[in-house]
Amino acid sequence: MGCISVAVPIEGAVISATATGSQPHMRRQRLDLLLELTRHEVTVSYKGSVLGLAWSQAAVAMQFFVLTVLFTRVVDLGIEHYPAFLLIGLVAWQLFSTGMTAGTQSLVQGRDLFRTPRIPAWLLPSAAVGAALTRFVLAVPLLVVVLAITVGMPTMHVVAIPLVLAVQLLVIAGPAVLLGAAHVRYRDVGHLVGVVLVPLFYLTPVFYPPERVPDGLSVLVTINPMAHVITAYRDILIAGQWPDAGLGVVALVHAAILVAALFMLERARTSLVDLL
Amino acid sequence: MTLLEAVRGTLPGLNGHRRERPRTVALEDVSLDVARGEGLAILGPNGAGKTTLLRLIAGVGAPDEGSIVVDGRVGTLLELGRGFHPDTTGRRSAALSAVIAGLTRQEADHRLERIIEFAGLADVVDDPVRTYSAGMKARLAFSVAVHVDADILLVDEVLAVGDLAFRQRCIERVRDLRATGATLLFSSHDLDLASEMCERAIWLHSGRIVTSGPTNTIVGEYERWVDEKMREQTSDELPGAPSGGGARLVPGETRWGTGHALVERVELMDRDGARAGTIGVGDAISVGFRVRRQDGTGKREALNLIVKLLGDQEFVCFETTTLLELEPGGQADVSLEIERLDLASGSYGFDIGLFNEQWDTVHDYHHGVYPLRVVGRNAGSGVVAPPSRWIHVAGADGA
Repeated sequence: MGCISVAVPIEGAVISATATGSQPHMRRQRLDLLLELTRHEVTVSYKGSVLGLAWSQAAVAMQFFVLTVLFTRVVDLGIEHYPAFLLIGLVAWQLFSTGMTAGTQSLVQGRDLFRTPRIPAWLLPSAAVGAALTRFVLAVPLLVVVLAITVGMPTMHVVAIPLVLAVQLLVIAGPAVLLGAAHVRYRDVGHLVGVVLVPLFYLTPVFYPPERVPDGLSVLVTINPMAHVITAYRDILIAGQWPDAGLGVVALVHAAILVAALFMLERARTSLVDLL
Repeated sequence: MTLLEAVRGTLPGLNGHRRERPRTVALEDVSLDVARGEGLAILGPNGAGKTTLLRLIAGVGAPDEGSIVVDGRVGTLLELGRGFHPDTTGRRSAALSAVIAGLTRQEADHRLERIIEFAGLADVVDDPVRTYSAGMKARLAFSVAVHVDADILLVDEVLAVGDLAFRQRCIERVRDLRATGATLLFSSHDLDLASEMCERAIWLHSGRIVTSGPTNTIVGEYERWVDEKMREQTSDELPGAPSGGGARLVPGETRWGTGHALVERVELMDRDGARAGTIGVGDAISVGFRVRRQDGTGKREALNLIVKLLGDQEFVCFETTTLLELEPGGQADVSLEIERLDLASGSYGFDIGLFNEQWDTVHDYHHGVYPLRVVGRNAGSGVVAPPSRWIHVAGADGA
C-alpha cells in the first residue's frame, strides 16, 4: 500500500488504483457515495425555495386535477376509478421523465467526478435517477389517499409493487446512461430529450387505457416499455391482480440494454473525458 | 460541440477544414517508482508538467500512453473543493467531499468536527458556501484532504493558500502524516520546504525528467539552473546605480532581474543607525532598503524579498525571506534587523533579491556589491564566533 509507479510511454493507457480497505468497505463506500450524491442532487435543486421539495409534487398535482376534471366532466372517458387510474400513470411518468432528463445531464454536470477513474461512472446517472426516485416516493402519500378514496383497501398483490418499481428503474437506467454519454459528445441531446418526452407522454397510456388505442397503432403501446410498467402498476393497485408476462420481457430487454450501456460507458470514458 | 458542428466537420466543403484541437504533449518518457512512505519532491519551472503528473497520479484524466499504478488511497489537494456547491452549507460540502475522497458516510461524520476545527470555520460552517471567501473555501477543502486517511498525499503549490498561520498548520499536518507512514508527492517552488519534506526529488522540464536523486543534490542543481535563467531575464531598462557599498550596480553583472520592481537605497547600518561597512564580532547590523514597483497599473501584488549573507566562496552564512504586498507604483521601506552577528572576523557580503510570489521570476537582484567586514578577536576558530568561555572546576565530583 501507498506506493506509486508511473511509466510513460507503454502502448495503451492503463490506470489501476487499488483503494485501501476491504471489499465490504469499498462496497459500503460506493453505496454511501451514491446516497450522498443523490441527497446532494435533491437538496441542491430545491435550495432557496420556501416550499422546497413540495414543488416536485406541484406539477403532478396540477396535472392530476386538470386531467381529472377534463376526462370525467368535459370528455367523459368512462373509466372506473379514474382519479386513481390517472394518478398512477402521472406519478410513474414523472419518475420516468425526470429520471431521463436528469440522467442525460448527469455526466456533464458531474464532470469532476466523471473525470476521476477511481469513481465508477455509473454512479452519476444512478444518483440522478435516485433523485427522481426520491420525488417519486414523496408522491406516495397523495397516491395512497386517492387510492383509499376511489378504490378502497389494497389487495395482497401490492407486495409486487417493489418489483414493478425495480423494472421501471431498469427501463430508465439503460437509456439514461446512453443519453448521458451522448450528451457529453453532442450537447444537442439534452434538448432533444426534452422535446421527445412531450409526444412520448401522449403516446404512452398515462391518462387513457391502452385498450382504447386502435389496432393499427397498438404496436406503439406494445413496444413502449412504460406502457407495460404503468399497466402493471394499475393491475396491482386497481384491478388487484398480478402483472402479466409482458413486464418480464421488458425487464429482460432493459437489463440487456443496461449491461450494454454500462459496458459502452466504461469503454468510452477516456475519450468522453477529453470532451468535457 | 453540437450536432450541427459535427455534421459540418464531416463535410470538408462546408467550412473548409475539420476542427483540430492543438495537441500539446505535457509529459513524455516519464518513468518513476515511489515506494511506500517515501517523499518525492517534484521540481521544475511553470509548465514543466508537475501538475499534470500529479493529476494523472490522482486519477484525474488518463495518459494517452503508458501506465500508472497507484496502490493506496490518494489524498489530493489538486481538485480542491469537489463536492462543494454554492448553495449547500460548508458542513454538507465537507461531508460530501470526504465521501468523494473515499470515506464511508460514518467515517466522514466522525471526522467532520475535526475537519471543521482544523479549517478554523466553526462559526460559519452552517452558512452556504457561496458566502465564503476563496481562502475559506480552500481552507475547508485542504482540511478535508488531510483528514481522509490518505496513504498517498499529492500536494501541489496550494500550500500557499490561506494565511500564514493556516499554512503553518498545513505543513505540520503533512509532516505528521509523513511520520505515520504516508507517501508524499510534493510539488513546490519553495525549495527549502521541499528539501525538508522529501528525501528524493525529480526535476521536470518540458514534460521530461531532467534528473532525479536525493533532494539536496537535485535542489542544488535546480537552484543553480534557476539562478542562471534569472540572470538571463535581466531587462535592458535596469538602471545602473552607485550601490551603498561604493561599488556600482552593473546590469547583467552585479544586478539582474526584470526591473518590474526595484530595490533601491540599500544601506547597511550599525546599532547607532550610522552607515557601516565594518562591524565588530557580535555587533548588531541592519540592512535597510526601499522596494518600489515600477508599473503604475494592475493589481496589488505579493513580492518575495530575500537577504543572504555570503561568506568566503559564496558560502551562505545566513539567509532569510519575507513576503511584501505592494500596490501598483507603490513603495515600501524595509529593513532587516540582525540583533547580533556572531560571525568570525573576515570579509562577507550581502545579496538582496526581489522575486515574484511564486519565486520563479526575479525582479531585481543585487549581488556582490554590499561588502561587510567583521573585525575583532575571535574566541575560537571557525565560521561563527559566539560569546563563549571555558569553565574549569578543580576537583569536581566523580573524579
